[in-house]
Amino acid sequence: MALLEVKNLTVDFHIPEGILRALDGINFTLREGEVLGIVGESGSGKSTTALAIMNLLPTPSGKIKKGEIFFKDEPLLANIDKLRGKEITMVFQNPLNSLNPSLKIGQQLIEVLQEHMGMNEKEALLESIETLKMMGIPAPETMIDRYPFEFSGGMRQRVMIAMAMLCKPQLLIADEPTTALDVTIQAQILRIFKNLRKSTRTSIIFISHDLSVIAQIADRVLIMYAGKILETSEVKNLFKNPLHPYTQGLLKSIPAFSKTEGKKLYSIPGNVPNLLDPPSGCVFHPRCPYIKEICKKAAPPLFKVGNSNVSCWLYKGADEL
Amino acid sequence: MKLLEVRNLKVFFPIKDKLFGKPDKFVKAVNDVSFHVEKGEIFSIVGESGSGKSTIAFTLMGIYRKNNGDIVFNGKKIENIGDFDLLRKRIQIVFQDPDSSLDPRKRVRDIIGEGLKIHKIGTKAEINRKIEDVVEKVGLTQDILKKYPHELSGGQKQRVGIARALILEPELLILDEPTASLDVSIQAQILNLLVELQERLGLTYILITHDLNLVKHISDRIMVMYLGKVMEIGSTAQIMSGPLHPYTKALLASVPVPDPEKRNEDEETLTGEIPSPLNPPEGCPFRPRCKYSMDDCWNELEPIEMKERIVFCHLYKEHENSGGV
Repeated sequence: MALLEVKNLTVDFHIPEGILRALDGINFTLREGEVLGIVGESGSGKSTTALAIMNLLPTPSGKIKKGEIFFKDEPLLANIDKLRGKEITMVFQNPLNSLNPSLKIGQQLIEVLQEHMGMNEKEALLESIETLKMMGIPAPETMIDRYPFEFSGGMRQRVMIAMAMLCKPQLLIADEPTTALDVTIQAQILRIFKNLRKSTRTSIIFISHDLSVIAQIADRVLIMYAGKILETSEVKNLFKNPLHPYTQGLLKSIPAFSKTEGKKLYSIPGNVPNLLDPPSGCVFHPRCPYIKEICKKAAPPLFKVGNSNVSCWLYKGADEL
Repeated sequence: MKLLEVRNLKVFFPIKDKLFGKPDKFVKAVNDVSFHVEKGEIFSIVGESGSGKSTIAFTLMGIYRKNNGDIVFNGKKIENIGDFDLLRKRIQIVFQDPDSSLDPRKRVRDIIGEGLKIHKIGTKAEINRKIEDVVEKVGLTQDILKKYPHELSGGQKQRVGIARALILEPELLILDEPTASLDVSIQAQILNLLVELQERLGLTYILITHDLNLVKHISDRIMVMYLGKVMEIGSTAQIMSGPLHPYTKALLASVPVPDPEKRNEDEETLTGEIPSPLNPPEGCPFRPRCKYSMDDCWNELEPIEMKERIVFCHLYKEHENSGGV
């Protein structure tokens, strides 16, 4: 069953230079218990997607122009204030910016439970300690009396995940949760997400620019580029049989995957487009090795190839969605 | 041939409790590190934050002062500031974040040409010709010269950073996380440019990074560091396919594999955190997190040399000079 359904979502940012279309009519669903990976470079719209779902787009510049979001078949944005923090929670990239520096860790956790679950202080304290323990924080009974600056980056991120998991949410959105961390700490945090997947029913949207991390954690993957979803696929299928030329290029440019001779890597030519002046037709056509006339003129619809969806004219003739 | 040799390098930063008075604590950012770099090779320094890899780079550039140890470049010992001033023409650096390393008030032409002015090399016409040459070398067009950094994309900024480093025609280029702040599709472009330049100009690189996939692909030899100390030095093949030090093993196991078929659900992740460099563990710095930790590990480490590779670990004591494990 679909837990979250995003339909034709379009988000504009009104900035001094003009109107920037950060999301351009994206569609996807998140199934219950699923880990959905969203991959993209800067400006692809992956964080905007997360913020739109949370209704946390920067005001007044960011606006949902078109489209709908459904959470358990109900319109989400009408109810988001009740759901946010309880049923739908979020973990951000930089844990230091997301914790209140002047409150003890324990106070920040307890507050969540008192606010959303109506617990008294004692219950909330016990529950907080229990959740911190689940995140692998040593001696949580003493750690709750400390301030965020006394925690290392990895520990702070564990606290953030604990805070997001306190109310046992149905949806957790993690926006680049390991990007700011060292590689051995990243492995520890990924381990926590893997355990969450096994031990809870929480569905996770995991946003990352790193395909290696996505390969380790996601069930299904959305590939985003310049505000569009270019490809949706089961994770194994995506790595075995990438359909979109952009996905193929991304995979080929990972050093560990590279099959080129010597030290050179495959690289996608050109730059990420400027969203104030996006390319006509397919957003990827200026960098695409398989460009055809039609790519410059018309944006490709989604084609269904096997279990994957791909937005590319190369697959014209396949079933259109 | 050895282009650079570093022997027993120590760089300590004093921590003062009071405003005046003697410092009573030191952060031992680089603590007794020795290595050498062969001419024409890509030598990688790998480690997590706080390992001291960037401190080594800044010390080689003369930005930080060493407390102890020798730096020998091309057979000549580098001692005082005057030596470093001369050295800076021969060693150049490309920084991690081009946003903060390019002066936002200067045009690209002035950013790239500044090194020549400082070192008083060439007439105005010569400087201009050199700037135009180097811009072409790094794959940019001439119209970029009149732009300001904020008008450039991330990849272009990093190319300007490389051009600025190359214009003095250095022998050794230090690359401090050169692709870390770039988008995935741009990383490969910059990497290829660096490889191409190295081959064409016969450069030597010291590559500082935490990205082990990148290191595996590009470097000839690797030095693994942890908390200011060397853990292991060896060729890329040796380190990647047969790591000896438990830290190297753990580090390699932590790297996410870009293959969903290879999800080791039960792999052992390293427990614990990197200790504070203000108060490092006695003996081997990795001891508190090491699963092979034993009594010997409380003692200071000596390098154990085996066939062109060096490992700092008491586990390998009996293998010393026996020609391998």
